[in-house]
Amino acid sequence: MEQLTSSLAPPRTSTKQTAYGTSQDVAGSVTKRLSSELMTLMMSSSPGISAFPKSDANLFEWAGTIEGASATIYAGLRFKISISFPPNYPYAAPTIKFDTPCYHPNVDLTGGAICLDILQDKWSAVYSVQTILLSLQSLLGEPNNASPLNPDAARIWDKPEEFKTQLMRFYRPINEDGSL
Amino acid sequence: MSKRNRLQSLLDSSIADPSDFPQRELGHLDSSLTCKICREFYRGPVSLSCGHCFCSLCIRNSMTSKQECPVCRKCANEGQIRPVAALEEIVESWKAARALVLTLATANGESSRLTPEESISAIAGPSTPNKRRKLVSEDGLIDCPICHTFVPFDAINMHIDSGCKSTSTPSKPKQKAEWSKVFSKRSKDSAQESDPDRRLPKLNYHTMKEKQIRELLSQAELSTAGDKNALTARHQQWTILYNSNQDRSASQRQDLERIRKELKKWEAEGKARKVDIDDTDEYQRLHKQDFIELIERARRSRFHSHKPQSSRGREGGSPIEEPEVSEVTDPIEVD
Repeated sequence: MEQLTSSLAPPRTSTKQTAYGTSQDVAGSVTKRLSSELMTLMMSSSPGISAFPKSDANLFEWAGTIEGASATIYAGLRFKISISFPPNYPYAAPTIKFDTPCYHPNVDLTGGAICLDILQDKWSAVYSVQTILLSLQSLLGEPNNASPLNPDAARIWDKPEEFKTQLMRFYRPINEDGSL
Repeated sequence: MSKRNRLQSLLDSSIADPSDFPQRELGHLDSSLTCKICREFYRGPVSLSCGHCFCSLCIRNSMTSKQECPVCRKCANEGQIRPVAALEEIVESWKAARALVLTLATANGESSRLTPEESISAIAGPSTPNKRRKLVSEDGLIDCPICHTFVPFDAINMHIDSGCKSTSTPSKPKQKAEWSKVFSKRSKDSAQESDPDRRLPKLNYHTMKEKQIRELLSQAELSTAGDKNALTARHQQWTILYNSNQDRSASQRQDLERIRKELKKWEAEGKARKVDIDDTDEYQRLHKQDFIELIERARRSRFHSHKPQSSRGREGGSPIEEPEVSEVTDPIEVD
């Protein structure tokens, strides 16, 4: 293997050059999978969810939006989230957090962290951005009040009016240009 | 990274996607032949005892972190992995036929029904560069459906039976050699291993000395650099790559040199994700036009496809706004 490097690649000093040359094949399988997911997301019509890479240079960081499902307390509200994929995706779950403050029993109001089993120990390599976003969308309407990250929100979940007031106190709509 | 941006090249590389097909049924057929983990056509498909299939490499990788089926979560381990030769054959045939089916399907979906004569000309006629070849050319050569080399029509069966190895007309002495190969012990022609189907065993690296692992690596002609953790990780991945290659049928297998390269790639991947961009904001500004173009193109091709689809739930502008994100939070490693 060492011999192979020296025969094919430029001299050792130019490590940067090597990084350039391989950046396309490096992480090739992950990039391929991510682009396939992007394709699926663009082609399928999943109402209320969307996601797209934040920058063209880095397919490992995405931004997405989730709209609260109708007939839930979150109906009509749009939440911005950020998705960050680990280098060993899909064998490890992506890191997801809410950028829009989300008053919800299983969401950390300030940090945006989400408590959802499929994003932690119940992650499976067959899940995708689409399944995550759909899960989050349904989590909004059906929180797991047994393990709250926001105990206050869990406490008043059964009082919709009070909950809605709190929700709207923290909610900030997404601007037209996508910023918060 | 090169000047050409990555997204662009990805979209240009025309990833095979089930949505290529205007007919829903064909799309289903197409997607049913893809691995649920990597979303590509099965490479060396294997099944677990629950019956779910994955690429050998994908499931072996997945098992390093979790010993369960990713689809149904039933307990699973390496011992359950069985190659599914029939599925591999199906996938290979489908891959060979896909372009043709796609041409027929799009022609069928777009224009009025073709008469039988026309559909034949659609197969043989010069509709796309890919399809220009006739099934049997004038000189009696036929395009092998598996390896796409031209083989004499009379010899095609033998060619396929031999795993696409014989490309010339079978001459008598060669035939003889082939037969003697069949009757003599098969192991003779495989120089590297006594058993060509051998799998590497799973090792308990904890109880092994660093020197032993190093020896194993050098036996496999792999790099022996790094500490014990690095050596272990390397040999573990080597085992995964090697065994998953063994799960493919003999004609689909890659040579060891290729697997060594893949291992190298994997190791680089661990250190990688270096993006050589100094000013991310500037980069985003610079490529804004590309984003818009890409989105536009994706939309166009979407509307051109004749899939009966309901309107999308999200409004038109939403994907465009994403690249505009003002605060770049992602820590881009600059090497």
